[in-house]
Amino acid sequence: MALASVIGVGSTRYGVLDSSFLELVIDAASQALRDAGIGPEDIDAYYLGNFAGENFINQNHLAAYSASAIGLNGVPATRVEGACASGSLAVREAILAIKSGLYKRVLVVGAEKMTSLDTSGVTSVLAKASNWEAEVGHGLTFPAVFAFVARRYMHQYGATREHLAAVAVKNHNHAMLNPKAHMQKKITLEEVLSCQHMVAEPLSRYDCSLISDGASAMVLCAPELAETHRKDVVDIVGTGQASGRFEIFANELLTSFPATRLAAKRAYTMANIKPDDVDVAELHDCFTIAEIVATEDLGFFKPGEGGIAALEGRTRLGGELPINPSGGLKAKGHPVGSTGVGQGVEVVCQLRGEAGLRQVKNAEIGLTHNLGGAGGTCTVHIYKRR
Amino acid sequence: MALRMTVYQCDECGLRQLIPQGYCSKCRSANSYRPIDLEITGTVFSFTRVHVCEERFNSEAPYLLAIIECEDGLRLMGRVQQPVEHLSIGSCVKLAEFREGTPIFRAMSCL
Ligand SMILES: CC(C)(COP(=O)(O)OP(=O)(O)OC[C@H]1O[C@@H](n2cnc3c(N)ncnc32)[C@H](O)[C@@H]1OP(=O)(O)O)[C@@H](O)C(=O)NCCC(=O)NCCS
Ligand SMILES: [Zn+2]
Repeated sequence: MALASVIGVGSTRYGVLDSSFLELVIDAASQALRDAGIGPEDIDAYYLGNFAGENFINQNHLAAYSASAIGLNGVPATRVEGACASGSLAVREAILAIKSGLYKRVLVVGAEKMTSLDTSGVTSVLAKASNWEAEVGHGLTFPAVFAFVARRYMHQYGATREHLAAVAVKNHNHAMLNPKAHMQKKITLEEVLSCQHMVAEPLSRYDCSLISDGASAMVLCAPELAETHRKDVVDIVGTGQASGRFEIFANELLTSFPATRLAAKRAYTMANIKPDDVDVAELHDCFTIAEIVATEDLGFFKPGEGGIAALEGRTRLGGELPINPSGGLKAKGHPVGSTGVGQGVEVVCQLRGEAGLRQVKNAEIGLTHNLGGAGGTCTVHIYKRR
Repeated sequence: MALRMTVYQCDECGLRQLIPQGYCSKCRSANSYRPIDLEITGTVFSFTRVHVCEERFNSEAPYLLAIIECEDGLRLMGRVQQPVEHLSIGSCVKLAEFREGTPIFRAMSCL
């Protein structure tokens, strides 16, 4: 059963952009409204996903700030923050609000302007998604969180850097087919394996997502109204959210995120589907290892087999389950608060058959997975073509 | 005198944690965590060498950072001063100093 329906999507290009935060939000929001064939006066509520506007652009009170700039006169405006999962949390709030019956049409935007700071500045801001007193103060960075996971995963399953590299190569290849992707650069396994720019060993630059600016938007509406707006409706049929232990050192196995498993179970149950039923997925590949672990936590592959599956090409376009056809956080880019909404935009394009060169054939069911921090927050959404 | 660090232990089940919980993850008791001062020794559960870091650590980079597993379930994190070739998962380490309030570990032979 549909919880809410998507009637409009829009997105800026992701990348190092000249546009301001507000220009990005306005661009994405107006594209989504135009796609839905409605205007701001048709919107009942607005949710903004944003991680760190106070650090990146010295601005708080961001929902009202951006609502005013969009021209959403009087509409209730709320910001949602959950580190890298901020965007999908905003989507979820919109779903819950529609499902409650309170609102008929809701605008969701995810946005982040990151490139106002240099890499060391961005590293400091991203680290705030972990525990300052117990981790960051002692030298933890975000790449280091996933370096711990990668090292443990390799130790546990005998995986190698080749398995990680396969994810980077795949997602870079996919981004070549996405005109809105941050990085359009084909890379080879050899290049990745010989990369000397270590970030947090065993992760090199090629294992990391990009530092990007960007905004994405969706218009959600009550399922019974969707067909008055458009014929090719995409329904959201499952939503799952979970929290998990906040510190990476408190993650018992370090090769799995319990919050992902819980969120996925909740979403699959609500949608009444199995992992096998998913045709296309946009997963949180903030680092190559994160995609591998997510494919296992979401039930696509058995523990320890996600890396092998990537290396065998089973997750690339044309494979049995295409993962991150957009290029993912790795190559499409990762404007943190925008990512969760952008994943939804990509899945909706795929289910409508509008994904151009990166179209997954006959995709009917799509999944998004958005992870915040070191697994403190996770959201899984399931989309279905009507 | 050996260096000590304050951690927390559940009165009911004995689980040790760096950060006390309102309800214990393991036995679900409420408000059962009490502070204890310990000499910290443990084994490396996972580790990394951090190259891209925050500015305040630039002078130490690249530095080793580890998740350390101690007795009674205690886990924590700290930098390890040690040639990288001598560190692996399972290596034994002990708390050696506090540098500007942050713990630094060194290798020791496993008991
Ligand atoms: C990987 C990282 C440290 C690289 O930053 P950097 O060393 O300052 O790199 P620069 O921006 O100076 O770019 C240097 C070159 O590498 C390329 N590059 C930068 N990041 C890259 C990445 N992640 N993947 C591939 N290439 C990358 C740049 O395009 C540039 O190429 P050019 O020389 O051909 O122009 C940075 O992108 C990073 O911290 N990423 C992780 C972000 C993160 O943690 N996000 C949150 C996850 S939850
Ligand atoms: Zn207990």
